[in-house]
Amino acid sequence: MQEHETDSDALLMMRVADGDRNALCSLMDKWESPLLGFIYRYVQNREAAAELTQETFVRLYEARARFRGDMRFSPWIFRIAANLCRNYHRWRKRHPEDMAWDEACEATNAPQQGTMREEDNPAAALARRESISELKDAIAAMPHDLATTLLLYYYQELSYREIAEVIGCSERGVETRLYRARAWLSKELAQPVESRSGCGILAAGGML
Amino acid sequence: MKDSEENRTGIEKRLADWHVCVPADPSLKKQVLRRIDLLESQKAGLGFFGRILSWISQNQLPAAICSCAAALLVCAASIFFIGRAEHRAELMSRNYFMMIDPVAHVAAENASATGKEQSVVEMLAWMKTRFNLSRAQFSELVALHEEYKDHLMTLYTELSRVQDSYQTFEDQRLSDDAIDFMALYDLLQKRDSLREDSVATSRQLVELTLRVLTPEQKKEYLSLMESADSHPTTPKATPETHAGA
Repeated sequence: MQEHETDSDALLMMRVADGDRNALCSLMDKWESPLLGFIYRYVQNREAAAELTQETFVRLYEARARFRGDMRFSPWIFRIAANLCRNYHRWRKRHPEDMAWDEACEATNAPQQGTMREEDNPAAALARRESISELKDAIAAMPHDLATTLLLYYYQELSYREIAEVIGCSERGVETRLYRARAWLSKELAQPVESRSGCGILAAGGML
Repeated sequence: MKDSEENRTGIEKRLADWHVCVPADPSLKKQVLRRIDLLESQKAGLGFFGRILSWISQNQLPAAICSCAAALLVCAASIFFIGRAEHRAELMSRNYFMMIDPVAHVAAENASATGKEQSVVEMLAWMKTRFNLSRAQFSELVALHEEYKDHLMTLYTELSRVQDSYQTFEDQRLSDDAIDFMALYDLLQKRDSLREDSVATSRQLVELTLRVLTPEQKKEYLSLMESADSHPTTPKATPETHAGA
């Protein structure tokens, strides 16, 4: 995150704290996409991701009085989102009967994953889908702290310091969690991408 | 930490492969603002206490202060009610020993109130919990005390009357110094006789009560009786006429 962007977001948030709805709309314009990306990768369900994004902004507004001028905005909002994701994840564990329905909906509504021209190489497309599917399963099975750290670092490009604020640990703790998250993925992904021969996965990755 | 470069690169490539394209929700702002309006209107409808609760929920410091205050209040209430329960149990046991000892009852009457008239079951209720009495023990004790209740009450009434008469003599002595010593002597004789009867009756009842109790219960009962007997609010009602009375 750029420092000046964070500052401007913090200023907008201060205006939200004063009851300025336009400032809230500006924040929604800017943060909807990053939040949706993070939440979708965490919960892996489009409907749930949209609802949780909406909930994040409502919670942000409700907690506006607790935001101080010296705080940074991105850890603040991602912290709210990460907590909501964790609650959703727990809820799904407690309500497995709803999971089947969610998964069925997700299968029909699944967003397009990747930008490669799959029609060019059907075999590569199939291998790639399988690879992503394995990755998603591994991340879904990951403990909350590891998944949050991994997603914020690789997809939202938050710094160690910002992630530390989200998770509530030290920067060293973030480094450790990232290491553990990668180790988790190595273990879970039985066949590393590099070891797959003839599928053109590496090439496909390079095309992105 | 061992995080081989090759392994790390492989994982990062796979992570980079996962692109998502979730379309933005065109109604997000509208939905969020609608929900915020709803929340605001709910809060406005909550009234004074609702607004206070809302303010507390939005601010950490008042929330922490309120939590501490609530915890202190609960502690204070617990201490108060436990103290009251203990005091009540003590009062009940004292009332019981007054009931079975008319002499002490009369003596204590001037020092402290002994409470309203109670049935035997009410009077013995404290023993049920204090001594962990069985249903059979409790029934036996109730029957036993029912048997003695009327006689003890008669003795108490007579002793009270003697006490009042003695007070009249005392008042007269202080005002005109003229005392009918023969009448006073008769009164004190009567009082001594009543006291002896009371002591004998009480002793009989205590002995019968002890037969119903187990050794542990007996020990506890006697210890309570001793402390009730030595209670400072049980002064002598009238002077002794002879040693050992």
